[in-house]
Amino acid sequence: MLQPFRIALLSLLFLIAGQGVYSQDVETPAGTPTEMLQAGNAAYLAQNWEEASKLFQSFLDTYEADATFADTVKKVKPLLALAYIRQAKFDLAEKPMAEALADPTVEPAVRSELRFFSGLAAIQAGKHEEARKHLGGVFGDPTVEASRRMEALVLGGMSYVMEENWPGAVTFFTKYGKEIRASSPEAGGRADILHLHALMKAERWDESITLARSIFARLDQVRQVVTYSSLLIELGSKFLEQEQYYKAIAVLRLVPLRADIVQMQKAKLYEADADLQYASASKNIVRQTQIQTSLKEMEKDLENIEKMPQFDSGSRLRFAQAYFSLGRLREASLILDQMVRQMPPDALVESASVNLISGWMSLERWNRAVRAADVYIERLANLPEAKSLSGVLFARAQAYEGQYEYAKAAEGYAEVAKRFPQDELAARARFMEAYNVLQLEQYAEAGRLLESLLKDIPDDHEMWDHAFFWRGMVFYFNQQWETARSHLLDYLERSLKGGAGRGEYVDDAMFRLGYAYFSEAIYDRAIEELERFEKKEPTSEWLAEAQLTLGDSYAALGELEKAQEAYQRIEAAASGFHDEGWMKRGQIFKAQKDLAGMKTLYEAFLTERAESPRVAEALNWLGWVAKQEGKIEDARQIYWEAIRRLGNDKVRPGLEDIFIGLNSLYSGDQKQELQALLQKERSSAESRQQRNYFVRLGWAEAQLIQRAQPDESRVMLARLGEKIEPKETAPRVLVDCAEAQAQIGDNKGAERLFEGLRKWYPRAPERDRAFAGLGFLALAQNNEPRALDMFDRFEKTAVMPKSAPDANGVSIVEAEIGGKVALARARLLESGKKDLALNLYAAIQKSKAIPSRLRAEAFLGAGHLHAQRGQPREALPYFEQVYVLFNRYPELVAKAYWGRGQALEKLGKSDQAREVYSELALRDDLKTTRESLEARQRAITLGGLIEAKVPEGGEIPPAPTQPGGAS
Amino acid sequence: MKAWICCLLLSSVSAFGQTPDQASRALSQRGDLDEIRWSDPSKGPAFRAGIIRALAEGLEVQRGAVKRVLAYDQIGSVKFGLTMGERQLIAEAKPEGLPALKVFWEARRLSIPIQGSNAGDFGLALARSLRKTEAHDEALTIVKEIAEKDSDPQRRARAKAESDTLAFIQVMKSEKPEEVEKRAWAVTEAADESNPDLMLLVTGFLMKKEFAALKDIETENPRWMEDDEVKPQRDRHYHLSLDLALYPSLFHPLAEAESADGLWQAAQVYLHTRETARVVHVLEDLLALYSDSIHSVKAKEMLIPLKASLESGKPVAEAKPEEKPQEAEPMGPPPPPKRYNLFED
Repeated sequence: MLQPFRIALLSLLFLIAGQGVYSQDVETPAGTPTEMLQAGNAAYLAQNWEEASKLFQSFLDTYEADATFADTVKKVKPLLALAYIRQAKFDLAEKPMAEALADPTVEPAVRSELRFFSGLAAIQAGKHEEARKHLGGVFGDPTVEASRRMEALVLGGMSYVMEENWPGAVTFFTKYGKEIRASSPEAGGRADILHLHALMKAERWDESITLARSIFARLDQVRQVVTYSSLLIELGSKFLEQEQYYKAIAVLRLVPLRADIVQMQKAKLYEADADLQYASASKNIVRQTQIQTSLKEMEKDLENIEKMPQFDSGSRLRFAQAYFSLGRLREASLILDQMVRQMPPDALVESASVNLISGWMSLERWNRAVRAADVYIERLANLPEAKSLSGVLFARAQAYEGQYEYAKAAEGYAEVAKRFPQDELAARARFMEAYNVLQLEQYAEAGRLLESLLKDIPDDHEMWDHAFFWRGMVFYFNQQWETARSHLLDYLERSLKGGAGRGEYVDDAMFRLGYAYFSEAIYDRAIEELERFEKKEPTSEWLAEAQLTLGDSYAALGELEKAQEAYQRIEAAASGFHDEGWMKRGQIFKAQKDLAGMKTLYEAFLTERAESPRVAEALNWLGWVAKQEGKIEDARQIYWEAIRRLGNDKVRPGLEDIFIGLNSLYSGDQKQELQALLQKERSSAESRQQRNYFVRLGWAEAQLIQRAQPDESRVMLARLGEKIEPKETAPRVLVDCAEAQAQIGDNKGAERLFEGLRKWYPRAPERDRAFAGLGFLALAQNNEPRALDMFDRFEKTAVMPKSAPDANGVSIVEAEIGGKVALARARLLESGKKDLALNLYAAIQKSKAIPSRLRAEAFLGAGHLHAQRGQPREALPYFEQVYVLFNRYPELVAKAYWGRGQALEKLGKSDQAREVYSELALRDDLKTTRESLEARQRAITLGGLIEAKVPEGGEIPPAPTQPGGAS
Repeated sequence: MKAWICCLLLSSVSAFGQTPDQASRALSQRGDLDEIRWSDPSKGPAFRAGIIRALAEGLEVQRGAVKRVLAYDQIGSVKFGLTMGERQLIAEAKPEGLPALKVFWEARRLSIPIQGSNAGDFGLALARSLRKTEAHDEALTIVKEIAEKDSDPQRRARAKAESDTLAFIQVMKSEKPEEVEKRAWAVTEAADESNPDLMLLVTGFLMKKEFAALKDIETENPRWMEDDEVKPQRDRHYHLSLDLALYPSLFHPLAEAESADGLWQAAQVYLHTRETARVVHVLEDLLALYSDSIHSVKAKEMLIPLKASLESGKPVAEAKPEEKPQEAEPMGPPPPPKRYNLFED
C-alpha cells in the first residue's frame, strides 16, 4: 500500500493553486536586456515556462553582476524561481527562490507564493521541517488568498505523512481537519484521506474506524474514493488479523461496490469538468489550475480502480471471512453466495465458491450446495483459475447424496472420475459412484464398478479397503452368500496382513460372515464365526445383533441353553436387541413347554425392564401362560392388573393387544360378563379422571361387540371419538373411532380425529388410514384437490404391500382400502389425467388382493372412460369383463350391459347393440335396475327385443332340447 | 478527538428535529455555503453566497446582509453546500426530520432543473421520510416531480426507484395476499440492488410471511421432525425466514434500522426453534453492530438468562419470541425461482 500511496501523494505536490500573481511590467527599449525581459515576461504570461526561465536565466547570467540592473534583477529572480518550479526543476529554483526570499523589498504577495513553493520544494527534497516552516508562514498570512492558505495547510499536514511522522500527522489533522473542511470541501476530503492513512500507520485503530465512518458520511466531498475504499479494506484486514471481527465488519461494510465507486468517480469527473469549463470561460486561472490538478487525481483514482478487477471480490471475501471467524456460517455463506452469483468470475470468486459449497453442506442445505456447484460450473469452470472443478463436482455429488438422490449422486461421482481420471479424488469418486448405485439396489452394476476400481488401484491405495469390503457387501446384499463369504474371508485375511488404511471394516466383515452363514441356515458355521466375532470385537457396534443371531443359531440347532446364554449376553444399552433377546428366551421356554420358566422370565422382565415398550407384550405372555396352566382366573387377573396399571398411559406399544386379549379369556356367555366389567371399570376410570384408560376401555368394549353388533359397535366408537383428545390417544384407537365417525356421517368429528392422527403420529402405521379417511372426507365435500392430495399421501405412507409398478410407474396398495383409494383417485383424475386414470383402473383390475367388487368397478370405470374419450371399440371388452366375471354385483352388471350397448351403437352395430339390450332387459336378476328398463326401450326402438337362445357371456344354462330340435 | 466528535454530533443535531421555523431561520443563516455560476461565464468566477430559496422568478440569495433575487436566465448552474446536519438529515430521512426536510424542499424545489442543483436530494429524503410515515401520495408527488425535472440523471433514476417502492406499497395495500407475495418474490428474483429500499421492503415482508408459515406448519404438524414429507417444507420456511431476516445486515448494512430489525427477527426465529446458542450469537451481533437500535435494550436483557442457560446446560425459562399478530391469509408456495435468486431453496 505504501508505495502507490506515496506516488499518489506526490502528485499532490503539483497542486499549484495558480500563480497569475505577479508579472513584471517593464518598459525597455528593444534589442537590449529589455528585449530579453519583455520576451521573458511574454513567455511567462503565456505560461511558456521553459522559454521564460531560459530568458530570465540568461538575463541574470548576463546582468546580475551589473549594479545598474540591481532592481530589475530583484524582480526577475522570483519570476525565474516560479518558472523553474512550474517545470518541477526545484534544484534550479532553489537559488533564485532563496535569494528572492532574502530580499526584504519583495512584495508580500510574491513572498507568499515563493514561500508556498519553497515549502513544496522542501517537501520534494525531503526537508520536511523546513517545508512546514514555509507553508506555516503562508497559512499564517491572512492576506493570502483563502484556497492557497488551505493548500498550504494541507501540504503542511502532508509533509508529516511524507516524513512518516505519524503522531505528527495525526495531531496536525486532528487540529486542523475541521477548519480545512469548512474552508474547502475538496481540500477537506483530501485532508481526511491523509488523516486516515496516518491514523492507520500510527496503529490507532479505534480512531481510524471513527474517522472512516465520518468520512463515509461526507463521501460526496471525497475526490479519492478509490483510495479511501482501499484504506477501508486495509483497515478491515487489519482487524481480521487481530481477530477483532466486529470491527472488521464495521469497516468493511462501508466499502462501496466497484460499480458504485466508478459511478461516483465519473460523476465527480463530470462535475469537475463542468467546473473547469466555467473557470476557463470566466478566465479564472487560479481555479482552472486547481481543478486541473483535481481532475488528474480523480482520473488516476479511476484508473486505479479499473486496474482492480478483484476489488469487489476482495472486499466481500473479507467481509464473509469476518462472519465466518465469528462462527456465523449462514451469514458467511449468504455473502459468498451473492458474490459467486453476481460478481465477475475471478480467482477470488472461484475460491469463494469452493468455500460456499462447503458452508452450505455444513449447514446441511444440500440443494443450496448443489446450486452453488452449478453456478460454479456455469460461471467459473472455464477459467484458468478454476483449479477446484473436480472438488466442486465431487461436493455436488455429495450434496445429492445428502438429499438421498442416489441416482444423481452416482452420476455426479461418475462425472468426476471420467473427467479427472488422474485427480486424487478420482478413486474416491469411483468408489462413491459404486456405493450410491448399491443404494439403488443395482447389485450387478455396483459390483462391476467396484471390481473395475479394484483392478485399477494398488492394494495399498487408501480406497482399497473400502472398495474391497463393499465388493463383498454387494454379494451379501444380493444374497450370493457363498461368494460373499469367500470374499469377506479374503478381506479378513488381507486385513490381518496389515498395511496402510487396512482393516476399517474388520468387525463388520466378521459379523457379516457369520450372518451370511445364518442366512443360509448353516448354523454351525454361523455359530463359529459369531463366537469368534464376539471374542475379538467386544466393542463393535454389531455386537448386539451378532449375539441375537448367535442365539437364533443355537436355537435353530436345538442348543437351547446356549441360545439362552447368548441372548442373556446382549447388553441393555442396545435396548431393542436386548428386549428382543428377552422375548426370544421366552419363546425358548415356550418351546420347552416350560411354563414356569416363562412365568419367571416375564415377571423378571417386568421388573428389570419396566420402561421398555415391550412390557405389554410380556404381560400378554404371562396371561397366556396362566391360561395354558388352566388358571383362567389368574390370567384374567394378570390382564386386569396390567390394564389397570398401564391403561392410562398415553401411548404404549402393544397395550391395546392386552385389552383385546381379554376377549379370549371370556368365552360364550362370559362375554357379557366381560362387557359389564369393562363398563364398570370405565365408570370408575371416568370418576378418577383417567381419560386414556376410559377411552381404551370404551374401545375394547366396542371391539368386543363388533362381530355380534356391528352397528352398535360403530356407534360406540363414534361416541367415544367425541371424547378423545388425539394428542393423548393411541393411534389404533384414534383411527378406529375416526372411521366409525365417518361411517355414521359425523364428518367433522372424523376429520378432527384423522387430522389428529396425522399430526401427532407421523410414524404410526395407522397414518395411512388417516390419509385415506381425510381423502374420502374431502371427496364428500367436493374438495377434489385436497382429496387427491390426501390420497397421494396415502400412497406414499402406506405400509401395506404394494403392487409392482407398471410400465408407467403406477403402483397401488394391495388391500381393500388401497383399492378404494385407487378407485377414488382414478375417478378424480378422469377429467384431467385420463391416461393415469386408466392406468390406475388397470392396476386395480390386475390385483387379486383387492376385493372383487372394487375390481368390477375398475373395469366399469375403464369402459366408461374409453367411451367418454370417443373410443367405443376399446370400451367394449371392459364392459364385457364385468358381466362375465362379476355377476354377483347386479347394479354393476346392468351398467356394464348398458355401456356395451351404447358403445356398439356408436360403432354402428345396431344389431349387436339390440342383442345386448335385449339380454339386459330379459335378465331376471337385473330387472329392478334402471338400465334394464332403458334397455328394453332401446331394444324396441332398434327393432324389438330378441329372445336370445344363448345369452352373450351369460351363465344361464341352455334350455333342454326337445325331440325334433325345437327349443 | 472526542471534542471533534462532539462538534460533529452537535452540528448534526442542529438540523435534526428542527421545527419549520427553526429550519427556515437556518436556511437564511447558512452563510456563503452555496455556489452560483453565471450563464455567461464572462461575468466572472463562481459566486459564493447563501441561497435562501428558489422563487418563481429566480433564486433569492444572500451575501452578508445583502439579499437579491437572481433571475434564472442569469444562472448557468448552482451547487448547494451541505452542513453536516443537512447531510445527516438527507442520509437518514427519519420521520423526525420531516418538518426540516419540508422546509428545505419547498425552499429549493424550483431549482431542481438547474444544472448542478442537488436540491433533489432533499426531495428524495423527504419522500422517504413521508413513506415511513405512510404519507404515500405526498411522497409520490415529490418523486414524480424529481423524476421528470431534475437535472441529474442519477437522481432521476433514484426518484424512479423510490416511486417503484411506493408503487409496491400500493400493491401491498390493494392486491390479494397471494398476488403481493408473487410480486415480492419477483422482486427478489430480479436481484436488483440499485433499489435497496424496495429490496428491504420486500425482504422484510417476505420474512414475516415465511416466519408465519414456519409457525403454521409446525402447529399443523407438531411432530414435523418425524414426518418425511412435512420436514422438508418446514425446513424450507425455516431457512428462508432466516435468510430474509439476515439480508439487510449483510447486503445493506448501512440501513441501520432495517438491519437491526432483521437481526432481531432472526433472534425471534431462533427463539421459536429453541436454538439458544444461535439466539445468543445473533443478539451479540445486534449489540455489537447496531448498539443504538431500538432493540438493544431488550437484547441486552435477554442475553443474560440465555447465556446463563447455555453455561448451565439447562433450558432457559420461557424466553418466548415476540408475538406478532397473525396474518390473515396463509402463505402459498412461492413461484419457481429464477436462475440467480439469493433466496431460492
